[in-house]
Parts: sequence; C-alpha cells; structure tokens
Amino acid sequence: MKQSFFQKHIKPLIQHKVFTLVLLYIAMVIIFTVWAALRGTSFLKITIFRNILNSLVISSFLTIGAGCLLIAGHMDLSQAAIGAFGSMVLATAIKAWGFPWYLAIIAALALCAVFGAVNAFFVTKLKFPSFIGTLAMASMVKGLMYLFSSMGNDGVAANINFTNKTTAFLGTGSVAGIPLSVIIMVVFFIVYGLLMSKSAFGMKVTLMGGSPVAATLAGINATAITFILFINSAVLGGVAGVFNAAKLSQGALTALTTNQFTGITAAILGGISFGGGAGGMGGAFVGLLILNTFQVGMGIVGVNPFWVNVFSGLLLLIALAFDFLSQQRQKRALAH
Amino acid sequence: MKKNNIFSVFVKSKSFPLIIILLVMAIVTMVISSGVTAGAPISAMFTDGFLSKGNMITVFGGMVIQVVMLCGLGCILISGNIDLSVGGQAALCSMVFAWLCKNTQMGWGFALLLTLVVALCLGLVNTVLVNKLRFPAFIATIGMSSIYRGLCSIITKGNNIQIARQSFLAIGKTNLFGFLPVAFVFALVLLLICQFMLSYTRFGRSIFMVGGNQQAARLSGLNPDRTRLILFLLNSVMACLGGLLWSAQNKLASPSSIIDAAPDMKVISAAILGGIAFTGGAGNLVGGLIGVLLLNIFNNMLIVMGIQTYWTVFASGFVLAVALVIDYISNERRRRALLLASAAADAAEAAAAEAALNDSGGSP
Repeated sequence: MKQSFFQKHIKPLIQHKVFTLVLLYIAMVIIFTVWAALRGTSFLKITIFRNILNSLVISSFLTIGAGCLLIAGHMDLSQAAIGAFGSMVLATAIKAWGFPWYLAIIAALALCAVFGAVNAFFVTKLKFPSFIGTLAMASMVKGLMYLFSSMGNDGVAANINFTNKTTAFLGTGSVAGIPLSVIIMVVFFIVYGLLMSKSAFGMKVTLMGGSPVAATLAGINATAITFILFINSAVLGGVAGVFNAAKLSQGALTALTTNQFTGITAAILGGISFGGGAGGMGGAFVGLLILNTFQVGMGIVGVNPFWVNVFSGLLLLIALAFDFLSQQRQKRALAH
Repeated sequence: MKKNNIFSVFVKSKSFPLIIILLVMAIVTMVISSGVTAGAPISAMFTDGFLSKGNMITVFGGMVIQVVMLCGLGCILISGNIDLSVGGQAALCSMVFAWLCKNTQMGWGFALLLTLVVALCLGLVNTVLVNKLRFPAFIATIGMSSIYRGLCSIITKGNNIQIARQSFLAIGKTNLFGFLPVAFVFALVLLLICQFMLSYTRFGRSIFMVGGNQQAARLSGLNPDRTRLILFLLNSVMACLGGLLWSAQNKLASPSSIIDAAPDMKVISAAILGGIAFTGGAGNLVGGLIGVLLLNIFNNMLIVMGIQTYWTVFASGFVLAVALVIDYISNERRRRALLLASAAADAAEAAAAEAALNDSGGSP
C-alpha cells in the first residue's frame, strides 16, 4: 500500500511530542505579542529574541546533562553546585594561580569530572538512590566550594573577580551579530541530539532507561554508561559554571543556585520521561525555550514579580496538560 | 533457634547502625561542648553545652515542622509518589492563618479549622493533577510549589505577618520539664498515630501494596487512586499543621523563611536515610524519625562545637553519604547471609536426596 505524502511525512510530524510543545510556544509568543501591544510596548523584536537566547545559554548545558541522565533513568541534583564550584575554580585559576584561560577552563572541568565520577561511584557501586546520593553530593560540593574560596581570603568565602579578554569574549562577545555563547549552545544541542538519537550509544542509553534488566541481559555495560553519563552531566554543569563566570568575569558563590531544578524541569517539560527510556534533545530545547521566553515575556509586559511565580507554576502545568492531551490522542489513534 | 525478642529485632533493624552513630557522636559532642577537656567537672557534660536545656529546646523545636511533615510525606513516599510542594503548602497555610488572625475577630480555633479546609483543597488539587490528569507527581508538585510561593507574596505583598494571639503562641513557647517543647511532643504523637495506621490498619497495609507494585495492587482489588487521594489529603493537612506549629514557635508567618529552608528536601532525605524506599513499597515512619533526628542533631552538634559554617555545609552532605554507605553495607551483609543460608539449604537438600537414593538403592 502506497502512503500519501501527508501520511508519510506530515502525520508523524504532527503526532510527535515536540510538535505540541512548538504549538504551545507559538501560542505563547502570540499572547505576549498582543499583551505587549496592549501595554504599548512590543515583544516581537530581534533584540528580545536575542536576549531570550542569551538567557538560555547557562541553563541549556544543565538541561543537556540532566536530559541524558533522565533518559537513562537517573537524576543529578548536584549539577548546579558542581557548576558553581567550577566557576570558582576558573576564577581562582586565572586570578591567583596565573593560568592561561584554556588551562583554567580545563582545570575547572576536570574537577567537575571528578565529582561526576564520585556521583557515578555512589550510584553504581554503593547503590545509592541517585536522588538522595546527588543531593548529599550537592551539599558536600557546596561546603568544599566555600572552603576553597575562603582559603586565599583569610578564611572568609567571597566572590572572586577576574579579568581575562578571552573568557570575556567567550561570555559576551558575538560573531556576525550572533552571540558566541549561543552558537556554542546550538552546536552542543545538535551534537548531543545526534548522539542520543542516531548513535549506538544513544540507543543503549534509551534501552537502559526503559528497562535496566533487559539492557544488562542484552549485553550492555550499564555501569560504564552510568559513569559516562554522570561525568558528562557534571562536566556540562561545569561548562554552565564556566559560561556564568565568563559572562560576569566573576566566580560567584551563588552561581547557578536557582538552577538546581531548571535542567530537570526543562528536560521533563520537553518530553523526556521521568522514569527514563524516552525523549530527546529537541524536546528539551523547546522545553527550555518555553521556560525562558516566558520569563523574559513576563518582564517585558511588566507583570508584578509576585505573580511571575504563580504564572510560571501554571505554565508547567499547562505544558503537562498539553502532553496529557497528546498522549490521549495517540492512545485513541492506536485504539482505532 | 534464634530468639526473636524485641532486642534482636531492634539490633537487626535498618536504623540500628544509625542510632549507634548518633549515640557515639552525642558522647563526643557532650565531652567537647561542655568544656570537660578544658578542665570543667565531668558533671558539666550533662548540664552544659550540647545537653544544656536551652540547646535541647533549640534542637527539638527546630525539627518540629520536619517531623510533622514526615507523617504525610513518609506515607506518600511509601505509596510510590512524591510531593515537593509541602514547603509551599505549609507556607501558604500559615499565611492564611496569620491573615485570618490579624484581619478578623474570629477565635484562632476557628481560623485553624478554616486553614485546614484550605489545606484539604490544596491536597485535592495535587490529587486531581496526579490521579485525573496523570501528571508526573515530581514535576507537577514543583509547579504547584511555585504557585503557592507566588500566592503567599501576593497575599502580603512580600511581607511577613506577625501573629499576636497569645493562647496560640503558647503552643510554641511551652516546654515540658524545661527542655522538651510541647510542639515536639505533639509532632511525635501525630507520627505515632500515622505509624499505627501504617502498621495495623487495612488501609495502611494497602499503601505498601500500592507502592510496591501498583498494577498488582489494582488487580488484587485495591484502588490506587483512592489511596493516593487519601494520602495527598493527609499530607496537606500535615504540611498545614507543620506550618502552623512553625508559626507558633516563631510568632509570625514568613513564607520565604519556610520555603527557603527547603523542609521538603530535608524530610525526603531523612525519610530515605531512615529506610523509606524512594521508589515506594518499603519503610516506616519511626525510621524516618530517626533520620530526622540524625540530620538535625548532627547539624546542631557542629554548631555547638563551634565549627566553621563552611564545614557544616559540607558535613550535612557527608553524613548523608556515610549513612547511605552504612545502609549499603548492612544490605550487602544481609544479602550474603541470605545467599549462604540458601546455599546451605540447597546442600542439605542434596545430601538428603542422596541419602534417600542410597537407601532405596541398598534395599532389595
């Protein structure tokens, strides 16, 4: 039986989980445009979308790391703390140790990788539940970060300011009118998206998340994959920390503190299932885009900051409702 | 045959190593904080520093809200669900209560009843999200938590509300024997009631079934949706009571102080530490209570001993990890004992079978 063009190409696209999210996103943009017009400002502007993409950069790395782990059925709550430590190391390495920028970044990321390996050791060898094991890790890393930053400063932990042209360019510079950090972010999303959906490794991760027992029986080395994913998540947390430090030219003690759940929230919003075994990077990106556009849009139409909390909670629920509706529709389609 | 008396049950229980650690740490802290090492008399160990009355009130008073929340959240975890909005619920309920006390003439008892009704509504919202719409509880309750936080600031434009009802504040101020806050005793009673419900009622046992294997529970005639409904309502009421007790102790309703202390994360950590399975189906509230005690007392010990705050942040994570390692070791030991026992049983069976074979072979 020959399928029509519509059935072959358009229908799967419409039925895809990400499609409903894109619809939600478009609806949101329209609402903000109208709302802003009523308030006498405009929302649909290049500069505003550049701001949105800019604000996306730091949480995007967290989302990629958290997303890969979630697909494999694990969770990392220590990402933000590890990233903050990374930004502190970067600042100290440049300012106090006199490292060139690339060595400083390598040092920061290497430290993050060690923490990630410890996380993986907890989860695979000592069988900690990842939720609580990484929560413990987050607290330990935070304490170590305070101690680390207080060492060179007479026992008082403080932010570290530094100046470096290259990191400043990395954080705030732009190439051909597009911020460099945004370009790097997009590259990361594409690479990880291909890795998770097209490569054998990605298939293994998805299989592991769907059924760990089946994956082991199929000859997949779950321990090795878990190690890779936790280290990956921690290093990406470190990348987020590095970008945070590069943007501000400062290693901040409170860097990423508001981001403990951002990565996980965006990933789940984008259709990565909480129990593991499903989802991809495209959805995670749209999920993140929705969250950040919403924040920026709220600022532009001038909503009372007290209401922003309420609305962002509602947004999460609306996104979940969309997901619910699309699942219902699929179920009905299957039943027919 | 081994005797199965209470003592051996206690020694074999999952919380036993945790209690031993707690006792050892307590003795060390008693010695250091009372200044015995600096020449104070031995008797000072029991009156000064860690065991002083003032410090005991601080320790027990500080964990009241966590113990009360544990009653509801522990059951939710056992049933295989999670609620990350209990902090927000506690904050919102205490806010509503304080608002009623300040802006109306009604007695605080009546205000309390109204607040409990609000709490039931919050629980109902969670239930609808999880039961009817099948949202993942983890993310749906994060969303609700954000909404509650916003509502709190909208009610008061971001300020705290003082509470001036003396008879209500007395609950937070009164101490038994000079060192045991009444609020803590109240929390303990609530916990024991919930533990009784878990262990000895049909409904309580059904929670374990639902948490262990929801499909099997449904097929054997239980109604997981109804279990969840009741548990979420219970959880919200407990969160509300926790928030109110916090307000009674601190004489005000302050959403940001409640939410920023992240009581939900602390309670979940403590619960898992005390042997409640994060994935559901196992554990008990008394174990969770031991987890709460361990985390809070340990934190307090560091403060009493005058250790730099940076180390206390590190140590609060470290103690969690250590407790988890101990849990792992005891699990491994038990597994190995089981393996050995089953191997021995197999060998005995084989020997018996062989003997039987020889018997039949030998007889004509």
